[in-house]
Amino acid sequence: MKRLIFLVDDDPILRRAWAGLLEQALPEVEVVIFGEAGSALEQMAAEPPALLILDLILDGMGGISLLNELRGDLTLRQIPVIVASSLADVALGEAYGVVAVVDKARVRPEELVALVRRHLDERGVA
Amino acid sequence: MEEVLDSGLLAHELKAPLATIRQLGLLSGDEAVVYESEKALQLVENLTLLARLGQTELPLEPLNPRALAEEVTASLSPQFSAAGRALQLDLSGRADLIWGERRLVQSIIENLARNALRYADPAAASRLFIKCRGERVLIGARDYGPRLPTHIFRAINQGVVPPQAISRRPGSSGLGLYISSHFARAMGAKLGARQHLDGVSVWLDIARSRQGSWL
Repeated sequence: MKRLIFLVDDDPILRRAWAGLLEQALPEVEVVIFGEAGSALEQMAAEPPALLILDLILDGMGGISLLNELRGDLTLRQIPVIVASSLADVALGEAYGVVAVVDKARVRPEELVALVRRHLDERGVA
Repeated sequence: MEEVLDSGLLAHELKAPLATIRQLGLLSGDEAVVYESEKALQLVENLTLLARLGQTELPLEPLNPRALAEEVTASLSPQFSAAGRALQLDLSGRADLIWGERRLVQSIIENLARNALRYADPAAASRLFIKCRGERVLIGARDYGPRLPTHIFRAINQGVVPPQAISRRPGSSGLGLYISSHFARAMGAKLGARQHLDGVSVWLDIARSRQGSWL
């Protein structure tokens, strides 16, 4: 059974491109894409993903609000989060306990794949 | 009441589509798209920094100019190669630590190097150099392109460059030098320039750090 990665970004072109990249590079995963945080949060409650990739500036509920929701939930707070934003700020990542913060503009595809693989490996995914 | 545009929000709105373009360039392996989108991202980031200058105290610190120049050379070398040009780093002289703000110094060096890339004669390698002059350190780029118009040359040496097209260098808005001159001034530094028969040298003239030196 494939492991789920949730990818939340309001840019449809980017989220499709990254979903394709990750599924091609990591056949063991399935990437579920969301354009806004609210529906991702609902889905997470039903089926927690192995990893969340999250943009910060989103329509409706923002990425920070979603991080706050996760922190307040004993189950969901275990989900490793990679923040991918053009407002990448390492201090913010540390404050919210995310596993990594990447600059959405500059992270290279191979770096993103390696980062995702590493955190999936740490969660026991082959 | 006057409404002030949030420069952070504006930067995000401008950067978001550029981020997507850059990612598509990276995924497709199109170096030209990557380079042009990176240049546009840098411009947005520099304009954001420019808008915020003076709002908070700059965190000046001792910086190694050699390491910064090496980073710029490494990051721009693929673009120089793709354009059939070369960027060399002249490390022959002493390279004292400087007293500056990392992002601003790096941005200035990048701007000077990008100008060299855009205008340099393909037959001659452009050169990044570091020179120590007493309590000052000069970090600059020497290219072998067209000379600067006299008024731009004078403006550089007088401290602040006007944001206007540089007539002898087609495609130039002058914006990069304008931003760099403000960045330099914010650090108590300045730009300098010298016309050569076969090109131009433009540099950042910045204070040497009093906290030791490398090599």
